[in-house]
Amino acid sequence: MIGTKLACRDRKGTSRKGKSCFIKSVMHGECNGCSLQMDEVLSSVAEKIKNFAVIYVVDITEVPEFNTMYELYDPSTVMFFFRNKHIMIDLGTGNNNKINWALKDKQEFIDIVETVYRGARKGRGLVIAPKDYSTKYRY
Amino acid sequence: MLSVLLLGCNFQATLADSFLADLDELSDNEADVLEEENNDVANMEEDIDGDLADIETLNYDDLDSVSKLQKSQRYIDIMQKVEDALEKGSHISNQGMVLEDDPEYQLIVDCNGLSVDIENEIVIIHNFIRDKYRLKFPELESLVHHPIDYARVVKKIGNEMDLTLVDLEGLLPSAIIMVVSVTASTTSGKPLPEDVLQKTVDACDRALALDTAKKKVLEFVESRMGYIAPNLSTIVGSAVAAKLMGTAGGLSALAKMPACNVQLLGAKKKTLAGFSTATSQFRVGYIEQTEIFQTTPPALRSRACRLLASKATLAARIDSTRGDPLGNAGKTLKEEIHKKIEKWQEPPPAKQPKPLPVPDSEPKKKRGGRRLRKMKERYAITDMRKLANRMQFGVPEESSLGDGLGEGYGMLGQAGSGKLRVSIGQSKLAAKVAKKFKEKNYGSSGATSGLTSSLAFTPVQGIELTNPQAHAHQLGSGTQSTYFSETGTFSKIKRT
Repeated sequence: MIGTKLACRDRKGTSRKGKSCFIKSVMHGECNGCSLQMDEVLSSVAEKIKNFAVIYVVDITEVPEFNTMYELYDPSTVMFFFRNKHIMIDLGTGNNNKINWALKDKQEFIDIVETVYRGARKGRGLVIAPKDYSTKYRY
Repeated sequence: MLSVLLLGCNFQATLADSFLADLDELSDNEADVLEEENNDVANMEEDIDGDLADIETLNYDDLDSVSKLQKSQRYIDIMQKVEDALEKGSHISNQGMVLEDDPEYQLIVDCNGLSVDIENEIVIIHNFIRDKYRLKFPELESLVHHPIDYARVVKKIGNEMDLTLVDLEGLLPSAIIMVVSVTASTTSGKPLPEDVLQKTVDACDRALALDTAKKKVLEFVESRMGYIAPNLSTIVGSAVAAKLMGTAGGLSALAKMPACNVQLLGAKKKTLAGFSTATSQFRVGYIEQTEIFQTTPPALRSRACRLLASKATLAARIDSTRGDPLGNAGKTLKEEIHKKIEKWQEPPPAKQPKPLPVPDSEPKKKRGGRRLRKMKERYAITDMRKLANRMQFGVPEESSLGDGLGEGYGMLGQAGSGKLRVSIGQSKLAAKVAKKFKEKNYGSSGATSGLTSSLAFTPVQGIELTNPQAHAHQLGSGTQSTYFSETGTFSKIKRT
């Protein structure tokens, strides 16, 4: 889970580590619009949440060791780790382990990160996301 | 006893009056008081007579008795010296000499006094001209305020009734010329007799002569300013420094003034009625003419004015004690002023984006107090709900749909509770207030609701009388233990 810190976005792994050892990593698949959008959101949010979260961007084509373990097949995936423990989020999509799609809204993302942080600090393994994404595919 | 003369503008009389009134109130030593009174009044009367004489002279047609300055020896001497000095040109050869011994310095001090006197004289002459010209053109005095302008206009108009024949160009701003012409066409004045007119014109000439004299004096002082007050002239410039000194009446007088007064020296007071005051400057005097003031942007001008005035006062104080003859202090002050004005014009520092604080790291600021308690009362659990939440041991509760379905009623409405109805009950705060109120007015204790009845309908006996107070504490406080017995102990451990 170790990449270089905040290098360029194209297929490069960048990791951002939280001060309270709160790690959140983003795995990148093929470099397309989806992952670029997610990248954009992450980079704009990184400064704001740096007091409690760090973002690592990892390119799964370069670091394929964890692809089977975490089932990393989508263009962009965001997973949350707190003190080396994987934290699950109930997003309503059915998959509590990760966020498979590109979020558009910065504030939404910050809210999710904050919720994860709060729950993880209390010792919860599963937190409930503030917004429900079950209808995500309905436009 | 005393006859006090009351005259229109004679304030000495009213002063005497007030003194006498004060003395009248004293009850002891009437004799001494009377003597004092007489002496005071004697003096007052002399003064009053003096003033009477003055007022009468003002009513006289003789200009010379009013305006004595130009004939005075002092005036002639000083003017002569000034003219000589101006012709000689500036020379600064007396650096070794102490300032006070220098004859030029003495001359300058005299000049300052003289300029103040000239100004007073001009005012007196202005009054004289005005009184005389009132018969001809009374409205002119309210249109043209400045004494010298007034004198010029009077001289120009003379005895003329038709103002279209009089050319006032150059004497007044064109707007005022227009107003004057219009007013002149409807004036109620009549032409003056020849001798009065002559006297008036003489007075005007004298006023103008005094004005030119004053200008000469100022010019002279200005040329010597760099020598007299180097620090002050570095900051505000020699012309303004000379004016300030002239108006204040000397360098030491200027040094004694607080800075707020220095700011206002030379400020014009009146703007004519009918002209907008929106563009008239806030209170600035001669300071307005300094270079520093003119080069500051308009938004910062009031601050700059205050700054200039305070630093100028400091410089004047240094100069009055001759603390820095070379003018270095003035230079440092000027640098300070420049730096400050530049700093004011700096843009504010750019806004840094702040990162979010760690969640839950800062505890919430909980508020307390009466207001919050009252607010919380609205959502507090009522007694009814409390009863409904509890159950008696071994007694099945009633429910809304019967047979255990629906919402349970708990202890609400059960036999032996002694309450037929559970009222909403007063809140704790309201109870305190009600108690105080009752104790104050009725002297009774205990707050029972008016709807409680001591009769209870029971299925077995029908009606039973119960003591309503007995079950009042049924709900009780949470601290009394209902589970653990007060008397029972552990079986193996002896109760100590």
